[in-house]
Amino acid sequence: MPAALLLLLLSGAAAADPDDELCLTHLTQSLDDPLKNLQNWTKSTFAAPCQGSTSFLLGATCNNGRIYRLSLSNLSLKGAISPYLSNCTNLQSLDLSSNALSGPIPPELQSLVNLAVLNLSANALSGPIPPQLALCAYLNVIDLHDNKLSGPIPQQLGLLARLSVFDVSNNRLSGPIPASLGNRSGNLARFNTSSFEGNKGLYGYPLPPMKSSGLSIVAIVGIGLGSGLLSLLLSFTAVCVWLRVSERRSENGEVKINHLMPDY
Amino acid sequence: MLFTNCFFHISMLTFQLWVAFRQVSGNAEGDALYALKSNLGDPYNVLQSWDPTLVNPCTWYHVTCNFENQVARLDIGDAGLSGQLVPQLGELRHLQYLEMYNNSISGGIPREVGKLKKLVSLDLYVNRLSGPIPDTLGRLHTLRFLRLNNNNFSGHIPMSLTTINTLQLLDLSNNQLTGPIPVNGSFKYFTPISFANNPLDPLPASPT
Repeated sequence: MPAALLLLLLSGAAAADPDDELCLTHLTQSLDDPLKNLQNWTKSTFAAPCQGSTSFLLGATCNNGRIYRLSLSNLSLKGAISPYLSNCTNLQSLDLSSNALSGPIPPELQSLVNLAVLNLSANALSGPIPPQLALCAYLNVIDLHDNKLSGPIPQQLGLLARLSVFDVSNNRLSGPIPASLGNRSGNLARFNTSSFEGNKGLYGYPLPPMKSSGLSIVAIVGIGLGSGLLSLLLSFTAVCVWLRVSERRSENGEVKINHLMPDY
Repeated sequence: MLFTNCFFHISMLTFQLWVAFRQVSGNAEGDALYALKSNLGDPYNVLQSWDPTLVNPCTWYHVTCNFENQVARLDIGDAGLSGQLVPQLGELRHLQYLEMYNNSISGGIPREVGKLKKLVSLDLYVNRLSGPIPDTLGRLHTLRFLRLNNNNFSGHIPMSLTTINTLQLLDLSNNQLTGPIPVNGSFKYFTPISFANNPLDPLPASPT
């Protein structure tokens, strides 16, 4: 498992430069705001979005002149999540839930090394869950439920020691649930079926075993036995009837014979 | 004539004594704030309006009261203040916001600050405060913002702070704190930014 993490580190891009202005400029370009909910999000504000702890942008919270929380939930936003979000390096909480965002989750989010909360739920995001998210070592919450994410659940996410909320329910994920997430041990927080359900191709503990198409073994055995007994009963009845019929015939025959034979 | 004059003077004196007595036993919160003023250096006369003869401090500049005339906010950040904090701060039982950032205040945080059960924000950042962070701060169970960064605090980070479940923002950076960084309770959500530039024990590289 450490090898997998090393591979991630090597394959990933260099860490992003701290640059809130770059982050915000690109974010507004990639997002679509049809209801104009991000009213004071103007280019001039991006140059200095924070003054100490005061934020000039709706949904952005500042400390020491840097954005540490971005909360843009339920604003009817469309478009995609820009990979340049990675330049908001002081980000501790990112909430873009309950919008109509599409496209992939950018693997560049791995540069948000201070991220503790990631909530992208209730959107239309597609593509895979990037395993690079495992490099955000302080993640407590990964909430991706109700999207169109496909592919496997990356087992590297099980390495996140602080992970206490993991919800990927109602997506299009497939493959086995990694044990590092489905069957955690030790002091790690455990996740139950509600974290994983609603994904047709997903299987493994803690989801209940898949029902096989067609009849189950019990049904087959039952039908076999039942039909066997039934045929036994039918043939028994048939034999009885035949015996009765032949008895009557022989009775009639016997009477005739008795007629012919003299009494002694 | 002399009698009425005398009578007048005596009654005035009595009245003034009575008024003065009322002030002394009148408003404990005003007294607490005045004790603070007496212990601070105020070269820009920011606290000039702090008149202890008034019935309560609710009309003082930089003091905000709630509907029951109890002090809810103290906003004396960026005020060029020096001197030290006082234990009487603990008497402001309804205080929600204590904003004294960006001054030159020295000395320690009085343990009595742990009595402020309604405190939501404690901003003492960018000052010259020293000594330990009192473990009594762990009793502030409505605290959302704790910013003590850019001071000279020393000693360990009290474990009692991890029991404050409402804590949203923690900044202890740029101090002289030592010892381990708590990672349990509410501190699970805090990352190295909150603790930067302190001689603290480093957080494990891959958290276990």
